[in-house]
Amino acid sequence: MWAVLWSALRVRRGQTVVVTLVALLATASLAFAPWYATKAVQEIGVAAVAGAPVDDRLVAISWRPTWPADQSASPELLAEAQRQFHPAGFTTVVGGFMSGDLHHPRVSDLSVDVSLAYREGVCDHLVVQGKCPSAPGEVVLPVSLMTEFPLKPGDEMVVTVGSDTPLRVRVVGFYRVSDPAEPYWGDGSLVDTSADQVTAFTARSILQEASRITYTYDLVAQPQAFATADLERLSTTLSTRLSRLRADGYSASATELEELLARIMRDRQTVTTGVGVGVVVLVLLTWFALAVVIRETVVQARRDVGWWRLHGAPSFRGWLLVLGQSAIPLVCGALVGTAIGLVAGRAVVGTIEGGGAHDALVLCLLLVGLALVGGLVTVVAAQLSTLITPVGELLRRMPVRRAGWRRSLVDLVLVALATYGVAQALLVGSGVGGLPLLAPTLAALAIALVAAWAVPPFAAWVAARARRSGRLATALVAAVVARRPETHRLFALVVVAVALVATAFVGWDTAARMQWQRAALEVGGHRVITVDAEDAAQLLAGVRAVDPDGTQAMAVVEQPVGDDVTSEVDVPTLAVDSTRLALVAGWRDEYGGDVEAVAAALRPTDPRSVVLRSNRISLRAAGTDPAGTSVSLRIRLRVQASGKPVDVVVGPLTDELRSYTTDISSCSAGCRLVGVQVLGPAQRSEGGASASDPDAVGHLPASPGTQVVIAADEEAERGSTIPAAVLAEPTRWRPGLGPRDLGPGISAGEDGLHLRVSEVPDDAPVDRSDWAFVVDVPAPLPVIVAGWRPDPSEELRIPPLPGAAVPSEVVRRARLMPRGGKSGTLVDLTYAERLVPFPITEGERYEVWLSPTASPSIVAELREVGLTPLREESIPERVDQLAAQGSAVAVRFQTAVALVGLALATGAVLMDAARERPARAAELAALHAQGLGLKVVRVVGYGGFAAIVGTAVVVGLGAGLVGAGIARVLYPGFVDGWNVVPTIAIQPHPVATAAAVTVVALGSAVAAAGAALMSLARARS
Amino acid sequence: MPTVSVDGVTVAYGDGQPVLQDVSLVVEPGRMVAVCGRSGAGKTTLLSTIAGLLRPREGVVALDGVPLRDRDHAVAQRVVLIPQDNGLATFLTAGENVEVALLANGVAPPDARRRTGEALERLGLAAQRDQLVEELSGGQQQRTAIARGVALRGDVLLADEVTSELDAATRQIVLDLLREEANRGAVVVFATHDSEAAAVCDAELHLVDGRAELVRTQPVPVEPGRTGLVR
Repeated sequence: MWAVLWSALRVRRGQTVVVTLVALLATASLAFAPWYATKAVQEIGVAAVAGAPVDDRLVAISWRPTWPADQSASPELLAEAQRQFHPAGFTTVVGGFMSGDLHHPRVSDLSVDVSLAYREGVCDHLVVQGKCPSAPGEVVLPVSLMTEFPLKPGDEMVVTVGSDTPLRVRVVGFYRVSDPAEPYWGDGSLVDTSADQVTAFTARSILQEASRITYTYDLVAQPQAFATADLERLSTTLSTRLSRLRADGYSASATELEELLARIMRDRQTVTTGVGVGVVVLVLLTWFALAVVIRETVVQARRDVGWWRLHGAPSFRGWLLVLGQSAIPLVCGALVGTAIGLVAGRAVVGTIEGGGAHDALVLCLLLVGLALVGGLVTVVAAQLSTLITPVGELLRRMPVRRAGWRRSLVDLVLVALATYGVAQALLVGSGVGGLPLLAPTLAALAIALVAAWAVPPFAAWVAARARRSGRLATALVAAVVARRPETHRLFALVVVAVALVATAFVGWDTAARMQWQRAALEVGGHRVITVDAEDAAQLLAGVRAVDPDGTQAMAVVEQPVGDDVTSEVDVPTLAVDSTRLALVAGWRDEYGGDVEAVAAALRPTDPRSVVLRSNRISLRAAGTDPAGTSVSLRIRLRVQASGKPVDVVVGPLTDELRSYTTDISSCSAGCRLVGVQVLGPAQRSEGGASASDPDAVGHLPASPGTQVVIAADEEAERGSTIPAAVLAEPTRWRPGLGPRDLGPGISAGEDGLHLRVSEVPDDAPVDRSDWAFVVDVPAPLPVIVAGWRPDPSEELRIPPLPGAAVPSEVVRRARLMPRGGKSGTLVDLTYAERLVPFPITEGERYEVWLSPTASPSIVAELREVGLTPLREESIPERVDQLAAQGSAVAVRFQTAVALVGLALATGAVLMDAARERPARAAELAALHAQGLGLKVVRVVGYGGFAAIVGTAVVVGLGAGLVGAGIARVLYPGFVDGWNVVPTIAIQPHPVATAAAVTVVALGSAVAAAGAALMSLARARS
Repeated sequence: MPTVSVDGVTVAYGDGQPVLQDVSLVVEPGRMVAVCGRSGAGKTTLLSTIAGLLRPREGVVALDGVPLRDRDHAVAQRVVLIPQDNGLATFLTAGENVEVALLANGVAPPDARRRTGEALERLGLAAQRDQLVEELSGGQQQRTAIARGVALRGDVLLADEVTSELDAATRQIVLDLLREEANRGAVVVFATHDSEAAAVCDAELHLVDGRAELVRTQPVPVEPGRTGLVR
C-alpha cells in the first residue's frame, strides 16, 4: 500500500508540492506570528519610554528646607526617600543644590547667580578641564564663565546665600556638559544654558555642610525595563508611594510619568488587539487556503474513490491511500514550516524579555496545531463527502449542475456573520471589540461569497452570448469559468486575499500619511533646531546670513503655551520669517490658504528701514529740562548683518542746536535705526536693568516736560546722519505700542524732530516710555489666527514676541497652525521684531526651521554666527516615534498577514491549475484537432485561469476598498487620541500598488499554469 | 472534392518500431473505404496520419497531389476527424461541442446553430443538446462526436471506430450517414474492426502488423430490395 501511495504522490507531484508548500508557508507564518506579536507588545513600552521627553520619564522627589532653617533637613532624607521608593526599571540620581551669588575677590565685576550643586556621578556626564571636585569646597564652573572672566583653576571664590556665612570655594576645573538632553540631568534645570544662573558642581560634602540645600532624588524610567513591566502595578505603586512621601513632607512629582504609563497601557491594548486580529485572520486564511488546496487534491482522487466504490466499498487501505495523498504533504509541510517559523521568529525579532519567549512558543504551537487540525479535518470531511456522493458523480470531471444546499447554508451563515460584524463595527466605531474587529475581513468574505455565487451564472450567460455571436475564444473561456469544479472556493479565496492586501495597503498608507502629517504639523519644518540666540533680531539676521537665498532655513520665534485655550493670551504664537514661509513642511491650506497668500497677508509691505552706513554718526540736537538737569539722547541702532544692537549716547545736550559726532565702527556696513530715547543725567548703573531703560546706558530717566530737538547734520558725510526727511516727518515716528506705554510727545518743525517727555498723572495705570521708534512697518500688526476669535468689542492686541501686546488685525483665519495644532497665532517675525524692539525673556524659543535640502554644514554655520544649537527635532525622527505606536505596529502586522494570504492564494491557484491540467490539455488538443485555431486554444488555455483570477482580483480590490472604509471607522489612531487633523481620505495609489502586487503574484501563477497547460496540450496534439 | 492518396507511408511513435509500414492507398471522392484490422493493427494511426495529426516517417499523404503538412493544413483542406475517444470537451454541452467545431471551421453562427440542431436530431440527440458531455452515456457521447463530424460537411471524413458503442439500429443510422457523406462526394475513411460494418463500404483495407492489404476495391453486392449493412 505504501508503494501505491508513494506512486500516487509521485504521479501527482505537482499537487503534492503545492500542498506541501502551502502548508509550509501557512505554518511558518503562524509559527512566526507569536514571536512578532510578543516582541511588538514589548517594544511598545520600550519605544514609548525611549521616545518620551525626559520630563515624561521623570519622578522628581525633593526636600526643600523651610525658612529660616529646617533642623530636620539632612542627607538622611535622601536615604529615607530611597528606602521608601525604589521601583525596578528606573535609574536614580541623588543630589542637592542651593542658589546664591558667586563672587571673585579679585575680579570686581564678577557677580553671577549661581546654583551650587552636587549630583551623583556628575563628572561622568561632563567634559572637565581640570579635575573633578572631590574634596569639600572644590567646584567646577562652566567653560563660558572662564571665557567671560579671567578665571583659572585654583582661584578662590565666594558663594553667598542670603545672609548666611559666605562659603569659600576653590575652582578646580571648568566643564562642558556632554549632552544636556541626557536623561541623567532630570528636568535639566542645572544645565539650562538659557537660564540666568550658572551651575557650579561641587563634592558630596556640600550636602552636609550647607543648611539651605534642596535635596533631590530623581528617578528616570529606563526603556528596556518597560518591555515586560507590569504597568498597572507600577502605576499603583507610584501613586501610593509618592502619596506617602508627600505626606512625609517631600515634594514628589510624576504626573507626566503617570500619563506615560497610561499611554503605554492603552497602546499595549491597541497592539494586542491589532496583532490579535491579524493572527485570527491569518488562522482563517490558513484554514481557507488549506481547505481549497486539500479539496483540490480530494477532487482529483474522487475518480479513484469512484472506481473503488464501483467495485465495492473502499477498504481501510483505500481510505488511507486517499487520505495519505493530502495528509502526508500537509503534515510534512507543517513540520518544516513550523521549524522555519520558529527559527525565523527567534532570528528576526531578537531577544524577547522575561517570560515572553515561553508564551510565544506556547502560542506558536497552539496556532500551528490549530492550522494542522483544520487541514486534517478538511481532509477527512472531504473524504467523508465521497461516501455520500453517487459513484457516477465521483467519476465525472465536471460537477453536477445543481445547487449544493450545504454549501449554500454555510455561505449564508458566513454572510450573516459578516453583516453582523460590519454593522456592529459601523455603529460602534473604534471602541468595538470581538467579532466586529474582523469586520474588514468579514466584509471581504461576504463579498467574495456573493460574487462566487454570481460568477458561474454570469459566465454562462457570457458564454451563450459569445457563442451566438461567433466569438469563440470568449465563449470557451466563459464556459470554462462557468462549469469548472471548485471555481467558487478558489474564487472566494483569491477575492479575500486580494481584498486583504488592498485593505492592508490602504491602512498602511493611511497610517503612514497620518504619521507624517502629524509629524509635519508638530515639528513645523523638516528639521527644527532650537538655538540659543540673544534676541529675535539677531536670530533673524543670523539665519539670513547663513542662508541668504532663503531656500534652506527660516527663523522662527515660538511662544508655546498650554493646551487650554480661553483667550488670545493662551494660544501659542509663532513669529516666522514669512519671506521663507515655503520652508514650512507639508504646507496645508488649513494654515490660512495658499502659502504665498499667507506670506503676503502677514507681510504686505517690506519694512521702510532707516539705514546709516558709516563708521560715525553725526547729528544736531538740543535739549532742555525744566528742572535744569542735563539731558542726553540715546540712539539705538542694529547692525544689519548680525542684528546686534548698537547704542549711542549723545549729550549732554544744550539749549541750542549743535552738532554731535560719535564713532560707530560696527555700522560701516550698515545699521538700521531702531529709535531714540530721551535720557536724564548720567549715573553709574547698578546693573540688572532692562535694555530699554535709561539705566542700561548709565543714565537716569529724563524729567517730565523735557524737550529734545533732533536735526540732521547737513555737513555730515553721506549715510552718517538721520535723513532730514525722516526727522521732518512725525508720522515716521511712534512711541512704544504697549497698552500701558505712555510715550513722548512727537512733533516736527522746520528745525527737526521734537520730542517732549510726558508727564504721568498720579495713579494713572501707565508706564512712561521716553522712546520714539522709527515707523518702518505698518501697525496694526497683521495676524493669522486659528482656534480662537478675538472679541470684536475690544481692541485686538497680540504680543508677537514676549513683551508688549501690540495693536493687531486679523487678516486671515486658519483652522490649523504649524506646531500649534488647532490653535495659535501667526505673525511675521520682522514685523514683530520692529513693533516690539525690546522683547522680554519669557519662555520663548528661538528656532531655525530647515528644509530637507539644507546643507549638512548649516548647523555648524549657525553656531559660527552665534546661534548655538540646543536641541533638534525632525520629521523623520518624529515619524519613527509615531510608527512605534501600537496602531502602526498592528497595521504593519496586518499587511504582512495579507501578503502571506496572497501567497497562499497563489499556491491555491497553482494547485487548481495542476489538478485541471491533464484533462484540460487533452480537451484543448481535441478541440484543436476539430479545427479550433491555435490562437483560440492559447486564449482558452491561459484565459480559463486568467478570467477567474482576474475577476477575483477586480472584485477583491473592490472588497478591499470596502474593507478599507470599514477599517477607517475602526482605526484606533494615535495612542494619545491626537485628532487635530481628520483621518485622511483613501488615496488611489495604495490601491494601485495593491493591484500591481496582486496582479504580479497571481498573474505569475496564471502565466505559469497557462504555459504548463499549453505545453501539455501541444504534447497531446 | 479531393482525392486522398497515401503513398508508401511509414509511421512510428518517436524512435520506436513503425506502426505502419509502407502503406499506400488512394481514395477518390464519393468513395467510402473501410480500414479493418485487429486491435493495435494501426487503424487509428493511419487515420491520424491522414488527418495530419501524425507526420509520416516515410511516404506522403496528399490531397489531390498536395502533401498534407499538419493538422492545421488538413483542417484547412476540410479533413474532418471523428476520433476514437470522441474528442469532446467536458466543459461544453453536446450542442456546444458541435457548434464550437462548426464555428471554428468558419461556419456563420446562425448556420452553425441550425446545422448543430439538424445533426443532433439525425442522431437522436435533440433532447440531449444542452446536456454536459459527462451527463451523456458512452453511446450518446459517441453519437455527439459523429454529429459533430457530419455537421462539419468536410471533403474528407475520417471516422475512427465510431460504431463501437452503438446498438444495431443506431449503428445503421450512422453507417447511412457516412454513406450520405460519400454520396455528397466526400472521401470517407472508416476504421472499424466490425467486418459487417466494413462490408457496407466501397472498399476495404486490411491492416496486419502495420502493413496494408487491399481486400477489395468494389462494393459488396447487395441483395435486391436491401441497402446498407448485410447481415
